[in-house]
Amino acid sequence: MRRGLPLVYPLISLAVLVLIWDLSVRLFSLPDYLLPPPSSVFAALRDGFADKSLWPHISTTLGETLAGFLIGSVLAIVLGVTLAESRTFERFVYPLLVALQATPKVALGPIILVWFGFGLASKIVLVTLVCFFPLFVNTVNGIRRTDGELLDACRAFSASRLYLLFHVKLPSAAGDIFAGLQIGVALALIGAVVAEFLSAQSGLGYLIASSQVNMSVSLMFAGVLLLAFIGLCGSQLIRWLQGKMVFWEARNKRD
Amino acid sequence: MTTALALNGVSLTYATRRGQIQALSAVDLHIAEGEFVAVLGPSGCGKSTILKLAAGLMAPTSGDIAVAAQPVTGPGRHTGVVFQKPNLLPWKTVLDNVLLPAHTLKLTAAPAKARALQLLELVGLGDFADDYPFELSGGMQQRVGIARMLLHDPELLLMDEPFAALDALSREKLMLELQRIWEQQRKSVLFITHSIQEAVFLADRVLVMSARPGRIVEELTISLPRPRTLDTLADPTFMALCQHLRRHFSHA
Repeated sequence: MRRGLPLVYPLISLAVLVLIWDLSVRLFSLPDYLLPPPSSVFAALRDGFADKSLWPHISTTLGETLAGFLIGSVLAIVLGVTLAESRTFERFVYPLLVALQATPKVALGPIILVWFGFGLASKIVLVTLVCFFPLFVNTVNGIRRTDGELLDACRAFSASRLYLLFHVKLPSAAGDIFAGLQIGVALALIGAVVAEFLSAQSGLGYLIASSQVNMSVSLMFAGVLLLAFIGLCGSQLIRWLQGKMVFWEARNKRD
Repeated sequence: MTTALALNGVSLTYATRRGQIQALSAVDLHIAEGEFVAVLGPSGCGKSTILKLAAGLMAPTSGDIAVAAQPVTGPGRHTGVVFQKPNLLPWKTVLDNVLLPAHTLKLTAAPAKARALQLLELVGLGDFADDYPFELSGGMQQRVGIARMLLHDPELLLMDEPFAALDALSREKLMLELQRIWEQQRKSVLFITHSIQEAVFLADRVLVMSARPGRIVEELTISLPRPRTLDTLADPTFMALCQHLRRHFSHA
């Protein structure tokens, strides 16, 4: 296994990008309010961590994202399984869900604010809504794509419907479910930031929006960097979990 | 002797976009207890359908089917099945795959596990109980399937082209092993195949099917002495029987 090695290359590219950024700011003497040099972004980050003013924003955004992501994912998997297993449910509900899927969920943001207030609840609702659909669709498709012959083979041994669902369909949908979770993590973060743009007293989205008012561009960049970092961690965590839980697919790919 | 499997006047018609297709037409098929019967036919002749009907995975349009003198209403514990693909669950170990019928048929755990290990020993995979299917070759996976088929000690084995996806060498090896296992366990077998050699080598009786609609056009008793060995494949009687059966397919 050569796990650590490939990470070196993107880090080199990143360093080069930061260098180009720094050089262009100096070379073209760009004003701070357009593009601050990397050093002042890092300074903003350092100061923010030193005086602990960043932590509340981070924890607010993390909390909203995580709560919404968890609720959305559980709902998506439960409803996805129900839909894939029940013809009636599919007939009545699926067309509506498909219509809702085509709607940009963030457009519902202002309505959600009216309904759920300006506090935490409205953010969690928006995040839930945003990360629900890709996972829901992936769960339905994953379960439907279960190899029919494999199901027949298990049925031939008198496997019950529940056995087929938990021991055959769900595991074979696991790869698709994880792909849905992967998309969901990124969308959840977007949902949280958009909700904070709309109305908030704290959070990284709020920090970026309020820094715009004072033209402190370094702090805006700092917020974006932190969001990128959180997103990366979330997506890596899902990938790691996928490798552990859906180990047979990783093996197949390597062959 | 009782009848392990009986199909009486079984027909199956199903609807497709192009209209009704008759897959089977008035098929009569009887397998005596302990008898090894091969059904030989070209692809698309409905021979796999016979197996699915016997396994209780499908219901016939007309006619009746009985396993061990009981009418078939759905999958039951009297039959064990293997398909062309091993159809193992990739997220379960070899041992847990063999134990699948124990879970679905709610057998007692400890004796089932002991039997599973014994069957893995029988198919030559004693050392692979804790491996995952993706760590095994195609031939080994099919052996796991054979062990799984035998776990709940069914009276009737239903095998649907179990060696078709294997390379020639593995196929010969598994043919010999299947014969050995069958001689030891003396189960009734319905063996579906499109290989003339396989059918003649393994079976007591070969039934030839024609395509569209599928029906049985010849019945041939194979009285070659057992155990048959690789030398049997070069035996003049064996070759004459194969030659005789090949005539059914030469025009195709």
